[in-house]
Amino acid sequence: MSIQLPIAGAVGAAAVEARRAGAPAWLAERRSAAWEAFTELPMPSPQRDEDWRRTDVSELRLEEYIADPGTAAAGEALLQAMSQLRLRAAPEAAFVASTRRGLRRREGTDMLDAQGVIICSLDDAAVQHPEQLRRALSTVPPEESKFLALWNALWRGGCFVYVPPGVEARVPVWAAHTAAGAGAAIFPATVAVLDDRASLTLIDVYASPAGDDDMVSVAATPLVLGEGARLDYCLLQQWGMGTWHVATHRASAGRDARLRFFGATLGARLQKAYWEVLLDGQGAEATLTGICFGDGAQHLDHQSLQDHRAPQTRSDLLLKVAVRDEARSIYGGLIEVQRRAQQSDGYVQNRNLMLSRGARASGIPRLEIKADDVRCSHGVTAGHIDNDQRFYLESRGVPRAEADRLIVRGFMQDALDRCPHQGVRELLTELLDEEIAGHPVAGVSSDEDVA
Amino acid sequence: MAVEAHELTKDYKYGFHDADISVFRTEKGLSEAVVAAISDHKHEPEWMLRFRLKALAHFQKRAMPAWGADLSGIDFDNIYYYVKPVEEQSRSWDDVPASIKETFDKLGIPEAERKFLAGVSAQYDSEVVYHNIREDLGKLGVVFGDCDTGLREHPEIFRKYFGTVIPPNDNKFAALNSAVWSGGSFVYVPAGVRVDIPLQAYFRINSDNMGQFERTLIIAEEGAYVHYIEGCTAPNYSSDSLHSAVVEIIAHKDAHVRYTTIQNWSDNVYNLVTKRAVAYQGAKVEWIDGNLGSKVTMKYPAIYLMGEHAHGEVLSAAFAGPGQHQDAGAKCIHVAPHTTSNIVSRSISKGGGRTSYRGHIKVYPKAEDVRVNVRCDALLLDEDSQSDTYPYMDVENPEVTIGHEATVSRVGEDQIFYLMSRGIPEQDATALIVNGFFEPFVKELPMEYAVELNRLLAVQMEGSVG
Amino acid sequence: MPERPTLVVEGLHAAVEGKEILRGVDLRVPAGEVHALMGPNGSGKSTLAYTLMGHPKYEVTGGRAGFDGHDLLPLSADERARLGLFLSFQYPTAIPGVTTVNFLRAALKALGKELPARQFLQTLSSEMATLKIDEGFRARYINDGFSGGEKKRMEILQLAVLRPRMAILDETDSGLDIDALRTVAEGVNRVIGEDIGILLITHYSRILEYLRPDAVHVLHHGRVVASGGHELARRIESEGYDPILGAAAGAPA
Repeated sequence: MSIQLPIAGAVGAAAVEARRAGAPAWLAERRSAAWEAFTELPMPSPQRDEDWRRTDVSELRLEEYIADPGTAAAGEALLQAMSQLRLRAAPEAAFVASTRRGLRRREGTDMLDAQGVIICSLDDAAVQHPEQLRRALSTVPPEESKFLALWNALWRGGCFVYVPPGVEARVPVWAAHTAAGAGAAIFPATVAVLDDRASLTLIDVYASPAGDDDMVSVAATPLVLGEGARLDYCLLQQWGMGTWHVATHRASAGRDARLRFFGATLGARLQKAYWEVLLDGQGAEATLTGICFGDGAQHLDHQSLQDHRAPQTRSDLLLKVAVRDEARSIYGGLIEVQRRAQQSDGYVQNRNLMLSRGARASGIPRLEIKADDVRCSHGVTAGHIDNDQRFYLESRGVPRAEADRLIVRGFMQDALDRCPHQGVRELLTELLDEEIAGHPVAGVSSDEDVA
Repeated sequence: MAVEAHELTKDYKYGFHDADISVFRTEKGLSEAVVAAISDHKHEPEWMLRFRLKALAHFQKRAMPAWGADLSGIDFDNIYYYVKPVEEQSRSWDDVPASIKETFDKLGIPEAERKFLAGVSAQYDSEVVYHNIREDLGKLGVVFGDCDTGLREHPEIFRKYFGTVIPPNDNKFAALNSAVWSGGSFVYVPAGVRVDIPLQAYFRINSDNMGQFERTLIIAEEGAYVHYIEGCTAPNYSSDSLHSAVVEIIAHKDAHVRYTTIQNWSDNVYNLVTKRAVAYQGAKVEWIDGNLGSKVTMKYPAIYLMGEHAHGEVLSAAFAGPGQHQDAGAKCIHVAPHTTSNIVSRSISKGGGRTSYRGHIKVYPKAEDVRVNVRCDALLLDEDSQSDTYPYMDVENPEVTIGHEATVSRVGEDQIFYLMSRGIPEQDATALIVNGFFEPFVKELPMEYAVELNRLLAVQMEGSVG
Repeated sequence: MPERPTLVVEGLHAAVEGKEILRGVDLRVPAGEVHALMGPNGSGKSTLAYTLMGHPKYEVTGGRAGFDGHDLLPLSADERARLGLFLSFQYPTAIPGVTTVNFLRAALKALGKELPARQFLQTLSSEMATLKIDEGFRARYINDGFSGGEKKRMEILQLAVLRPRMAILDETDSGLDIDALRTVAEGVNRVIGEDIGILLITHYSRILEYLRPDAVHVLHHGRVVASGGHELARRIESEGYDPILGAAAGAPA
């Protein structure tokens, strides 16, 4: 029997201590409690946990990844690449970028600063805007799951946005999270609190260099929408092909609030992403749209929740998935309508396009309805490229590969059209084309090896 | 609510029970000794005793399912696992003991047999007390009897298929059934024989704290056709009963088997049933599954499509009134290419009842050119009721077309108004809509059953208004 | 001599989801007469139809409505139907699973007009033939998957079979091509007689060429603002609503 010595900077008590230092008491306490919860909670198991039945993380040894790389890891080129991505899609946006070392860039915030919009790291928010941060963090309690516990213990830097009542943020906020190097563990944090009648476009990007470095990302994005608030949230997950990514994106929507959630899943070796909307206020409304392209041996798992907790709430989810090679997609969704949520509508559509033998897709769209005056429906389909469509295009002189690209693009188009930010939509269209063409796919291009 | 539940109980037409006339019963609870006593009492071959004991071990090892309905009310120690009502099975109705005869008379059985059945089997508690088959079918080699007789009189064919579709370790309740099974039906239809009118089995629990564990095995040889119908009733006792059946169907090449269930257990029965069919090349299997009664039902008839061009159909209808949870659904497992399946589920919840659709579609890597359609619709009649949908879909082959659609809604105000504007009172309008909602199911039933089902629905609907 | 059964509407106010749509409608339609109710979109025509038939969503906030000496307002829709009222819906509702033939039989029974099965089927067949409805529709579910024209013809079929004493036809002409319109109009003409009154709600005067109303009323902002003979409909056809509504708007409120 050998004794395992803790690896310097690894996920562990020392890393938690490093983050407690200098934090306000409530946060230091929260981190300790979260770490305790993490050590006590079992790893999710396909046998025990219904939502993990088709996604196995038992091989993942979280304590062997490095949360604190030390000051040597610079990541300047990588941050530059993240900035380039933003310039391609939303040059007008305020830019906030974090690595494992914390918040690294904060640019182009002048216009929002002038509007009174607060943009800072979570660490700063903990000191300067503790009430707003605590309000958001209360929606992602550590004791809920092992991964949320770990995130609560170890997040650093990140992007905190607060939009005051009635303020309509004039430009988007672009939150970037990046890391590089084998063994990296990052805990991305994006938090948005929109006060009553506030509005914001938030673009949340996760990326690492192309390649298959073994990394882990555990993320959470609590989003709070006050009465009548409007949030457009665009999410791009483009981790390298060696990354394990577990993320909880959770929005709670107050009275008459409106959320447009758009997620694109392109990267990671294994993803488990929760896309959740809690419709807490009467008349709240959410559309959730996703596109997902998997190839190689990617295992991409989306779990959605549309929880109708108040009357006259509306939710509508559309997830389009294409899988190629040996890739596997899992979709689990739940529409829940609580007894008091009368006159609510909830819809789910999950469409899967199977591009090769060996690719797999599972769809589990559940409904739990406790109110009678509701309309809820879900649909799941799995299909393949229609040979007639392909033949038709080929007969017009379009080469096979191009024909397939057109068909996959056509398949994704109605979802892409629902992307609320035009620049992001165009960027995603390009990235998707690259994916379909089979170019070195996930990740941003950077020769930086560690960040 | 209490008043309503009481009324429903009052309306349950089959809630009467007879005095206990049983000639033999095992002691309460489950043990190796009880299992051995059942096997011994039946003079079974050694292999069956071993099979039972192994299954018992599985049952005892296995945890209760962590999903689905609430089963915490089952007290396995407070159940009689075997109750034998009569010494001998009868082939003549006249020989059935008077009290049992009266029971089945009330259920309309000999009358039904005369009118439109090719054969009838009637099980009372643990044993089949009567069965008969039309003479001409017997001459063609069609076998229709209880499973115990099947084991005795057709040992080779019985052993070849028994427990092969649903192994004893499949799930906790299949294990339980495998350990203590008794009665049920054994159906064998030789190649090319078409049994053109239905065979029917009636299952009746009479004793208090009784567990009924019938076992049904249906084998349709190449090109054969058979339609098997089962109906279930039980008296209303204050304590709960357990019904845990296992049904295995083997449909060989180009065979066609249709299995219809009208489950109308009283609302103190836990109905936990495993039903599974294998369909070989070109075969067709249909489950027509209606769940109106019971306290809790967990039942997901399955079809394994093993041969090319096999086809599976599941048509499921569920009604959950006060205190009821119908957790029903379907599974279609596509193992072979060019297979198709179609699932239609309709459910209604009222008065605090809960219906859940739980389904599984799986397409194996080699099963190309598979087409699957799933359609689930649920209707909620009031705000105390609940409806859930849990469809699982795993696709491992690109050459498939799968569609799954589900809706949950309530009886539309506009629909009611439309009917009322033509003079139809609200209660009748609701009943018309509810019957219409079940129409896809009802139209697959033989006329006599359709009429009976509509009558049962009318009983269930009463008390839902006002 | 007893008065003919008459639909009497006096100062009727009605609201939908808290919003007042009818603001004092006055109308008298005796049996034996055909009255046309015209008006631009949003004037409250369909609201009046639903309110008279008793749709629970339409709340009467004032005024009276009666038929044949009975107060309609406390009655549910089926009770009004049994009194002899009939509404041909602008957008008939589909009811999957309920066949047309079963539905009609249930309705006749509820109205106390049950016919022996054979006679019922004969009546149905001949009415369907007149309305050029395929026999196959008997077994189809009510309005389920029907085209707009098929739905309208089915409404008139019900009118012919159920034989009410007062029929409100809500835009029965909308969405019909000229042939279908003629078929529907002929169907209505066949039931017109001394013992039935008809309130024909329409946006266009086209159908009036076939049905020749005894009176024409114009509804605007929830009130009848003009009444007259057939010439009123002609005027609307040639000049549009504006001159009439303009004149009405000038009148004291």
